[in-house]
Amino acid sequence: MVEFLQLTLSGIVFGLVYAAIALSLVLIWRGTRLLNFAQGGMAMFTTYVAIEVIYRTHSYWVGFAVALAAGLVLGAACELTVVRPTLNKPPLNSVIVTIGLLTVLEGLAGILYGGQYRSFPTAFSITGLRVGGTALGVSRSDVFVAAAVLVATLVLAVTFRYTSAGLRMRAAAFNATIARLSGIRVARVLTVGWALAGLLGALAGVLVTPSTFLYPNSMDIIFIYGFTAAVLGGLDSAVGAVVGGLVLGVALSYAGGYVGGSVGADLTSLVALGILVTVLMIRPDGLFAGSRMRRV
Amino acid sequence: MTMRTLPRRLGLAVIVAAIVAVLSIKLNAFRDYQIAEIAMYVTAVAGLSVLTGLSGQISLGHGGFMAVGAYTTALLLLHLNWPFYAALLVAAAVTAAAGAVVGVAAARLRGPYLAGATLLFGVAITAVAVAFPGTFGGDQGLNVVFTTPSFVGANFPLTRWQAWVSALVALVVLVLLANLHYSRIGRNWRAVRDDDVAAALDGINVAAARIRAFVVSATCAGIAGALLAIVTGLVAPGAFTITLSIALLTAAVIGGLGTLPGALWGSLLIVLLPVYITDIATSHGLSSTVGANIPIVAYGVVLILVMLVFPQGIQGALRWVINAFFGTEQKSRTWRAAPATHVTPSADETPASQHEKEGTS
Amino acid sequence: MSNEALADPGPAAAGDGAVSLAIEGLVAGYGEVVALDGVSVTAGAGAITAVLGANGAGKTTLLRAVSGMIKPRRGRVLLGGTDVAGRSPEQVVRAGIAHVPEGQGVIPELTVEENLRIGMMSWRARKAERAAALEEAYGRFPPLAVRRRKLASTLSGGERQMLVIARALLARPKVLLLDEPSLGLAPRVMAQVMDLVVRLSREHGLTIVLVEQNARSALSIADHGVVLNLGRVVVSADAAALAADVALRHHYLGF
Repeated sequence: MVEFLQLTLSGIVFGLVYAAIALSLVLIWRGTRLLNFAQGGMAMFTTYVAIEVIYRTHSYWVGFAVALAAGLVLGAACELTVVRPTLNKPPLNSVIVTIGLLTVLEGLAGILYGGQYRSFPTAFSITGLRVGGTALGVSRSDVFVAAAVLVATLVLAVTFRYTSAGLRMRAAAFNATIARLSGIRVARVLTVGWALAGLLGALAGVLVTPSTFLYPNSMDIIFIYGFTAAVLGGLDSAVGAVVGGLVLGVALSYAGGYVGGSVGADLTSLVALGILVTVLMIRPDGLFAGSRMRRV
Repeated sequence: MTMRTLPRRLGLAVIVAAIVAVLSIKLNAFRDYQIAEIAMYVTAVAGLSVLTGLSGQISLGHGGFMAVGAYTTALLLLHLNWPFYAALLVAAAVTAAAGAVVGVAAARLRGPYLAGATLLFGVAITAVAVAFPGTFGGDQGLNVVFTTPSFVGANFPLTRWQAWVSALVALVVLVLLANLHYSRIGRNWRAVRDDDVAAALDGINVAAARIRAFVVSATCAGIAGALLAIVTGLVAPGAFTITLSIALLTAAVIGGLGTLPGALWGSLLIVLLPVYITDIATSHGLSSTVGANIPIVAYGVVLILVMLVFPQGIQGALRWVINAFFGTEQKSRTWRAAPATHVTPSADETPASQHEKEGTS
Repeated sequence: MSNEALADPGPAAAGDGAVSLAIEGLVAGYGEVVALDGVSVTAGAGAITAVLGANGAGKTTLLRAVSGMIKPRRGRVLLGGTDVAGRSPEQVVRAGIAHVPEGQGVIPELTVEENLRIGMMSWRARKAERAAALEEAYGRFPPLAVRRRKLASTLSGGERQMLVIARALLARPKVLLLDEPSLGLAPRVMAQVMDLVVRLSREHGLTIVLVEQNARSALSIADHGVVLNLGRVVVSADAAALAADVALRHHYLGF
């Protein structure tokens, strides 16, 4: 029973990190109808920026803030330079372009920072928390991770729902033509969307890297799971992204914990595949796909 | 010059085989190894190019199919001592079956959902190899011993033999793919790619066509995996990462999606470019880490530039040049370089493309 | 839509500040297809100009080329003297031309109020001004006020058309381009929409370009009529005269 609690809680924490990546993918998908394969790479890069700042300033929070700002800038920059020209072309082109972007970012990180594994600090203690006598399996740091993602999600949701800027983004995502005819500068909206996605990715990066260590490919598997979570929930649904992330995080935690030994740990990707295939066979557009099924 | 008839295709294959044979004799052992590598990639990339370019289905997990073929070959060679050609056929069959399974699961999936599922497939397959180290050798993998047969004589270099075998296998696969391309099966694929609703209304079994495409392309990857086993001598999970799957797709796209010559151009690029650039980098005194990463950056930049400037890839560019010089109005209706899609509302000048389909009024 | 007449549209501004739209020699198309082959149309200030013709004649393309949805290859679009040809849709609506496209003009995933707010996004204005404009729109279109928090997907065909026109009006345009506003509507609802169009022109001095399949009803409210055929203007005349010319009607307009 205790093990169940521990696995569930740690599954939720990781699940929220996947949810953050999933959310950033959904944000970009809804705005530009393309899948940003470079999302993990962008998060990795901003985490490198963060660690350099932390070394120089000896302050975690300054590094944290700079990472988020770098995420905004990097997201906008990528959209403006590399993605914008591909928007009129077949979707496969933008997929390849983002893969190219990923490759460039990973190579650059290798050149600028070297390939060795680096450790990344946490803001809070990583000792397991206890309630009464039982170990919860999560630490203060983990609670911070969960809280940070939840707060970010909430802020985004509120922004989208209740502000003019959010309305502009939604209108542009639902029907770019009507939006433009009403005077919305859709191009600008797209850039903002990418900037926000970059911010979310950067957040996920600094939150998860203490566990994965920092190296040019450190965000690859996180991206894959985030991607899986987004696809599970249906790429059009922000709620789906969060639910997908939680479901995946918890399921993988159980798989790793209960199936015992190294077999379990290695088979998490197989479990993820199993979940994904099962869900997609029943609902090919994801769990939360609306009746408006867009064929890509 | 069109490859519409079988005699023409065979003729071209023979010419290429002769060229490869001559090259491998003239060049050194390392070049022989590269020829074998290129042949291996061509086999896998051609299959993937057919899947994505002709039938419109994207796969980011073809590295996984290569792993299936490679491990099957390695196990047969190691434990049962089978000759290579027999192991090759079995590896092809096993991978075909895997392709059928994936194809069935993927038949209803589109675009990003398909990309996600195949990506995860590629990762999961190698995880299986690691999870059962008793059978699959774990992280260390399986060693494969491949020797020259007695009839070539004692002085025949192993690398040259590897190059010849790989090139032969690759050419056979290419000829078979070309046959498929011009057959009714190929036409059905293109119909399904362009508009699956219309194809279904035409009586084409869309799901069957898509699964068939997966089986064919997986088999090609499996054969390439078998080649990998005998060329590199080692079958380990580290050889089948996401990077490989991505490299296959990008080679297919840069070379020219849906075209067989494109598979060759793309494979040449991914084998030769990194080595070339690393050589330049280290000769300029850059550290080995930097030297190893520069080709990666260069590769990404090339990808981006090709997509932005010439999405039809190298083969498309070549055809354009040929047309410009010889004024031939070659309609590439059979070799479509990029799958037709539903264009989305864009951020700049022409958002009305969806309305174009409804016609003017 | 309710049976009662639409509420009083507000204080009259007949003719004041009305602006004409002069389209000169417009050439536009899609890829290799030339849909407009040198079209010149003048929509008089504060008047209703009907653009008619068979399917494929170029009517919708004309509106799209004016509003910036497609880029014209040649020609000018003069809004009271300033050439706006080739500008992007965002710029054109800021210049004062609002386009209500045919078919899906409403964003069904947003509420009625959100759809209306979108109409004001070409402004630079303070919150109070926007709130006032919104209330004015609700006053003009009571059925929308009732459903302001409901999703636009729950509206009937006629109500959607009202919403779309209300949104376009919120942009405070000088020129309104209407593409088949009565499409798919029941005859009684169609009549109410046409009624509304007339009021907008007479009482607010809006210059209106009306593209309609239903030539008969369009000519009944229009001041001027233009007939397009295969991308060219074949007739440009007073609406009443056009309606009276039986031979012309039969040949180009089908009645």
